[in-house]
Amino acid sequence: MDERLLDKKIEKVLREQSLPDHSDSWAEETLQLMIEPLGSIGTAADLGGQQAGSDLGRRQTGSDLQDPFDGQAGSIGTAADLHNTVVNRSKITKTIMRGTLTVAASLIIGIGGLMIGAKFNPSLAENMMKWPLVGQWVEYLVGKPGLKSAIEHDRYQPINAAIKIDNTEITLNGVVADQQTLAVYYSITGDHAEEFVELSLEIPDFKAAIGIEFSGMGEEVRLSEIRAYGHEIPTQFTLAFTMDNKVFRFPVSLDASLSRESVQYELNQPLVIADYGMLDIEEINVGVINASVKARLLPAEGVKDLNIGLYLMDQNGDKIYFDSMGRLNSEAEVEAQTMEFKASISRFELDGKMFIGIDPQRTAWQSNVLSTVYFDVSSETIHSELPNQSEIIVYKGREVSALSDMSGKESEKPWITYEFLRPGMFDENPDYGGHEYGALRMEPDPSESSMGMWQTEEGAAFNIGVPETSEVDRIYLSLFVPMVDEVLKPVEIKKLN
Amino acid sequence: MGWLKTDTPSQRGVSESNEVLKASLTVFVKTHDVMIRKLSYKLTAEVEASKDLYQQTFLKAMERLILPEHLALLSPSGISEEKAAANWLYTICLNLYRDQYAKEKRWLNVVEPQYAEDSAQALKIEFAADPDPEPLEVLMREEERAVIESALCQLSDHYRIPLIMYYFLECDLKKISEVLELEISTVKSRLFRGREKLRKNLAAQEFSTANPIKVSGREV
Repeated sequence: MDERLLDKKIEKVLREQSLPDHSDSWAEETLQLMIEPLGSIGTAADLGGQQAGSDLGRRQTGSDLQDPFDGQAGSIGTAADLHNTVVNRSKITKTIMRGTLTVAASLIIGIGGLMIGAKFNPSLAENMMKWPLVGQWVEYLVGKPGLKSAIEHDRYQPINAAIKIDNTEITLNGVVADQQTLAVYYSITGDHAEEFVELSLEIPDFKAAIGIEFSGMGEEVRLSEIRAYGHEIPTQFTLAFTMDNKVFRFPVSLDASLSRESVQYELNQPLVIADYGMLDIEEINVGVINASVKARLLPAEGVKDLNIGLYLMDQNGDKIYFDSMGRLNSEAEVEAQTMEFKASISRFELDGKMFIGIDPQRTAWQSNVLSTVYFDVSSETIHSELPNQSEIIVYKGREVSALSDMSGKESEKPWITYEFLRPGMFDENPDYGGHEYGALRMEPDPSESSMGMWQTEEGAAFNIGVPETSEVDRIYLSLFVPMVDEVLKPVEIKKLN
Repeated sequence: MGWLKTDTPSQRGVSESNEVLKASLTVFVKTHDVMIRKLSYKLTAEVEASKDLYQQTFLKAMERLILPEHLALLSPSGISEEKAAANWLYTICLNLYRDQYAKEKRWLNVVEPQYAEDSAQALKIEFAADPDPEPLEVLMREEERAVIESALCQLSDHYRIPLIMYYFLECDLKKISEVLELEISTVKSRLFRGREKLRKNLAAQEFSTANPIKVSGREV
C-alpha cells in the first residue's frame, strides 16, 4: 500500500474522535461536583437555562461580583477556603501498580570507566613538565572541568620520581589531589612501555572502594584518576604501579594546602524521585577536583532499584552530571542503599547559587514486570513477555571470540558473546545519554561474565559474554524503566562554609 | 481581591454573585464539554477512564477558575481568550493523563506479538472517496478505523501524545514542546517516529488479523 495513502488514513483517524458512549450526562454530573462547594442554589440544569439572560458573555467586574461566599449556610468563608476545598475535592488518588513487584537479583550493566585514550605528541608531553600548561593539554582534560580548573589554579604537585626495575622505568611526574580523588601523571619507558599498568593506593586500614579511571595514554605521559569512595585519601601514602608481575612503589606526600580545600553544602530536604522514592542527601562536598555527594536511597515500596541521574546546576542552568556508576561503595553500604556520587567540578568554579537535581532522562527504575526476558543458552531462544512493543529484545546471533585486556593481552579462554538489541529504547528518549538501562542475572551464576552496552542505529545493543567453559543455562535481562515522563525540579543547596 | 473580597455585602448581592459564578462555571463546562469528552476518550481509549479524566480536568480547572486572576479563562471576552481557555484546559487534561493514567496504562497494556515487525506487510485497506458509500463499505471503513485506533493505542505515550496534540488538538510544535517540556527537535522526532511506528504497528496488525490479538484487554 502506498505509504502516503496510509499516512492520510492515519491522519484522518488522528484528527477525528467519536464521543464516548453515554457521555451526554457527564457535564451535568461534573457541574454538580464543581458547584457543590459553592452552596446549593439551583441545579446545573437551572443554571444552564440562565445563560441567555445573564451577563456571562462579558467579563465580570468587581461591582458585578461581590463576595459570593459570605453569609451562606455552611459557607466557605474566604476565597482561600474555597480554593482549598476545591483542591481537596479534586485530589487524585495515585494508584501505581507496584504491589506485585518483587525483588530480583541484578547487576548493573554499565559502560564502566570511560577511556578517553587520547594520544599526545612528545612535545606536549615534554611541556607537561613546565606547569601550568593547561591550555595545551585541553584534550587531556576533556570531560574533566574540575581537574582542568584545579590545574589552572596551580594545584598540580610535581613529584618527578623514577623507579627502574630491569629494563622498565616508571616516572611519577606529579599529582593533583583532593580528599577523595588523585589524578596521577606518569610515564613508562623501556620494556613494556606500551603495556597497561595497574595502579593502586597502599594505605593501612584503607577499606574504601577505589575506582580508577584511565584517561589517557600518550607516547610518554599517561593520566589515571583514582577515586576513593567512602574514605579520605591521606596526605601520605604509597602509590603502587604493577606491571608484568613487578611492583613499582612510590611514597607520596601531598601538600595539604594544595589538596584539602573544599566547600560544603547542605540540603535539608530529601530529593523526591516522583513516586519512586527519595534520595536523602547526607553530604555535599566540593573539593579541588571533584564534587562528591553522599546520599541514602529510600525507594518506595515495590521499587526494586533506582539508577539515579544526579546533577549539580549553577544559577545559569548549566548542569554537571555526577558519574553514573555512583554505586562503588563497600558492599555493606550498597545493601543499606547508600550511594556516593562524583562529578568533575572544582570548588574554584563555584559562583552564585547552586542547585541539585535528579534528571528523569537519566534516571531509571527496575521492576520485575519488565524482568521477564530470558535467553536459553542451549537452545538460543529468547522468551519475552515485555508489555510494550517498543521494548522488544532481538537476539542478533552469537560470536566466539578472544577477549583482550587494555594492553591487548588475550585471555586463555575463548568467550561466547551474545548480542541483544532493544530497538525501542532510544526511541523512547532519543536524547538519552546515560548507560544504565539494563541488568541481568545468569543461572547458574558464572564466576566471570562481560557486559557492554552501546547505541546503534537500530537501538540499544547489549553485549553479554560468558566463558565458553562456563555452564550458563539461562541469561535473564531486566530492563530499567526510564522516568522520561516525570518532572523533577532541582532544589537550591546552601553553602556551609 | 475584587469579586472575592471578604467584605460583608448585602445578602441579596451575595446570592446574585454566587449565581453568576455558578452560571459562569456552567457555561464554561458546557462550552468545552464535547472537546474534553473527545480528548479524554482519545487519550484513555476507555469510557470509564475517560469519564474520570474528564471530571478531574474540570475539577482541576476549577481550582484556578475561582481565582480572580483567571477570570479571563472563565469568561473569555473574545475569540483569542476563548482559544486560550481551551488550550489551557487541554493542557490540564493532558498533564493529568500523563501524571496519572499513562502510568497505570503502562502496566495494563497487553500487546502482542513481539516480533511481528519482521513480518511487516502493508495494510490492504483503502478509504473510498464515495460520499454516499454502500453499507458494506461503511462497515469496512469502521473496521479500518478500529484497526488504526488500536494501532494508535499500542503506541507508546511518548509518541501518541505528541501525535494527538499535533493532529487532534492542532497544536503547533512550539505549544507541544512547551506542554511536554521537550525541545522542538525532540517533538519533531517523536512525531516522525510516531507516524513511522504507527505504520509498522498497522502492518503488524494486518499480519496477525488471522489470529486476533489482545489490545488493551479487548479482542480486535
